Amino acid sequence: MKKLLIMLVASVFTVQLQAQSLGGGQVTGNFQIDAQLSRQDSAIGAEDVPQKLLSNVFANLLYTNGGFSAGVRFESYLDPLLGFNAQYKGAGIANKFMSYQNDMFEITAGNFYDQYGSGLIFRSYEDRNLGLDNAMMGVNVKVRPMDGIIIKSMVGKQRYYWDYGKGLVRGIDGEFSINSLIKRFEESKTRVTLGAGFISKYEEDQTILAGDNYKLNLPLNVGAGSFRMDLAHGNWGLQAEYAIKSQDPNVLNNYIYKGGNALFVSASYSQKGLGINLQAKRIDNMGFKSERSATGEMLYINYIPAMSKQHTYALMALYPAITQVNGEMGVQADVTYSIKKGTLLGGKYGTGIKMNFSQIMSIDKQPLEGYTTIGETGTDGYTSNFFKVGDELYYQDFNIEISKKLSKAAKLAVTYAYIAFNPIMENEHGDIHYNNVFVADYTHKLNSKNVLRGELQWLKSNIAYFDEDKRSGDWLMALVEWNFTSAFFLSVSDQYNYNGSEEHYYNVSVGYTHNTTRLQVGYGKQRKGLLCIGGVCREVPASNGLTISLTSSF
Amino acid sequence: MKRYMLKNVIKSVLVATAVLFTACDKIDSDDYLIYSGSNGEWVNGSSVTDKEQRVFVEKYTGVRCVNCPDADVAISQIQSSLGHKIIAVSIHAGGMARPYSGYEDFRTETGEAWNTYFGIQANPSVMVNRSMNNGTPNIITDVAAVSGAVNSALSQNGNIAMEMTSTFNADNGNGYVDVSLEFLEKVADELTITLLVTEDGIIGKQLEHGGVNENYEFNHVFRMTITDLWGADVVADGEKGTCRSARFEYSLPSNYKAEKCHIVGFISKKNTREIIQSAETSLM
Repeated sequence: MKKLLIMLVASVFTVQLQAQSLGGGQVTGNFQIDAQLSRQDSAIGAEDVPQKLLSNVFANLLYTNGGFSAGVRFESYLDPLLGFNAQYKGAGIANKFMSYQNDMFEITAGNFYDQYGSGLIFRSYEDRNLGLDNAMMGVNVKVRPMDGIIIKSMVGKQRYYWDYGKGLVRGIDGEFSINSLIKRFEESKTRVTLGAGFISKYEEDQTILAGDNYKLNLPLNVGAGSFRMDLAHGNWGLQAEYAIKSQDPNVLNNYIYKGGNALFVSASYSQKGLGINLQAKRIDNMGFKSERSATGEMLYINYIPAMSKQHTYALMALYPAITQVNGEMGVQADVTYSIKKGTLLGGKYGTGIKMNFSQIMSIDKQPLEGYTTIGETGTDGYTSNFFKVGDELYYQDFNIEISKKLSKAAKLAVTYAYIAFNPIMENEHGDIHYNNVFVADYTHKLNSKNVLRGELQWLKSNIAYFDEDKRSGDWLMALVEWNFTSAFFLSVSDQYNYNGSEEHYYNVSVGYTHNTTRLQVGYGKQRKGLLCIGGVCREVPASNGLTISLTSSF
Repeated sequence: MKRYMLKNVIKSVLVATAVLFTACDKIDSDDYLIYSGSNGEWVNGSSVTDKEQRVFVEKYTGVRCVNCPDADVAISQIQSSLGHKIIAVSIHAGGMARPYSGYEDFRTETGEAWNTYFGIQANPSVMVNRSMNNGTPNIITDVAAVSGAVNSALSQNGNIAMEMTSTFNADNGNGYVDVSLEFLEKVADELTITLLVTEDGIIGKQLEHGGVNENYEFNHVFRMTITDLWGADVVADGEKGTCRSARFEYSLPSNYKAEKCHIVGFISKKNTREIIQSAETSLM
């Protein structure tokens, strides 16, 4: 253990490379090392880790020379950190590409990431915190034939851990700026961009039996298309996208033949001191993967944008919204307002208010004529009235944050959230959890190099503790963080599950930053739960031990 | 010039989109289902994507066998280097598999039947693809020899591609396995398919060189067969290009952890019981 720490600290000081010049080009890169030592703790459900030390390592190397660039990413999961899929186990070059671009076009061969519109039909991205990487392996071409037009086209297969999925994904997308293309709108205050995309997935036939004596006649090519619009006028903005998907019987929708559709609308208004954003979406059967039988987080071709606030405070993030690709309707309103300084409520330094409300419901689903159940394999599944909201509440969140600078050195933010969470979002049965969460966050700048911050959090739930869900019951949390000498920080926290398991989840963390290098070492207990980013979630198992994180770039 | 170019761009995009739109199949509702036969019945299937040759490695072991953890390590090392080409199963059978008091009994009637049939005399004993030598099973008792036997087996192509998909209902414990076979070359032998369930991550008591380990992790533990212990007949003409598929249903006892279980399947020659291809998939 001691040796490991010495090695890690030594590497901090040896990886101080600068961007290197090579053959007239530039070489840049970065490293990330995450290591974990966890021991068995039956009280919180942490299982024994026979390997003792687990690690995820990423190293990017990028070479650029004029319009040419090439890069590789080394990844190692020996063995993967707790909660990461065991299929990641291994090490090697996970991502490689070369690309050339000029004013007119850009071509990338190898691995690439891209997105059409808001992602309703195509989004290839990496989120290593979620253990998710659906990088494409193929060719991606972007053409800008004239100002105001971008045409993209691609073909490839998706990454599946250390392999590629069976499905072949092809796509084309066009984005047109009306103001650039039509002369009389060039100077218009109203800016309009229109776009459309189409994705087609090909996958070989396979045998999926349905009931006794029958198998499914599967569509080998599945298409999805979308139209979108981006409108801006002064302080106002409006974005909308509508997508449809052809017959796509797959494991997510229980192999039904109904087509899918999705609508996403976002309207915004902003002026000095005020920002308003309203969003709505409706999703119906839009799980779109490059392998029809694939479960889990990998091989999604598309991405459904989340419609709830991404909470950063631990107890507020205890029950996150999880995107329901088979059907959901949601609305979200987000308002930020700054009360001017010198007013009664604004005081000497002004006051900030952030309000957010989101609600996600099921969609209307009715059995097909002659059927009593919804979503029967080998049928059209169900009918759905586009404008009718379903009966089931999935998620509701109202939260308000008031932040105020108390003096030149002190700042206080208090937040309240009311969060309703239906376990059906996790495919679990049970009553809806109604939670009231309070947070006070106080920051005090002691001097130019020392900052002290403290958090107090309290979650009160209507659901009594039960052992299968370690989140249940009520919670208290306290955190103290000290940033000193501008380079070091020390953080101590405890989450206490009172009226529940009575477990304390304490954590101590120290960190050091030197130029572009950062080392963090933490020790403590991690509660079993979900880590969600943008509605996409990864299960995080309980653990008790040491975590080490080192990042550096050059 | 600008207008001319715009026209061409729009034309090109429309053509490209039209081409892609043709890559979108529409199935009429009357044709959603195709007749395919009853449970365990073989029907014509489609081509199998995964054409990799795999090797079935079965280890006869026991919790009171001090050398058996060495075999676990050896097989695990082979798996590390060859990955999913190796399908490992641990069969607890014989005198050394008697459970310690208060600990789970991993023995099964099927495991004991195989143990007797193949004439396993010592533990650990390893069989690779149940290969035979002049009618006698090749039983490896020296764990160092397993790697060579695996490589030798991998070099022999069984000429059958095999894929399995598993569907499991956690609410009632019922599941089924869809098996697809493709004959890559003509296979004249009569064949059987055997499907079984293994479980990983079982913590129990195991004798080791250093004494008894009460927290030993048992992996690939043979739990049950889905088919008969000697398999079900594969009904196929064996001609090159033939594709056959069948579904096999089962019920998983509630004391097995479904999330840690795998379905293992292998194709054997009916007369010699030698295995020519195998596959594995997560149960859920």
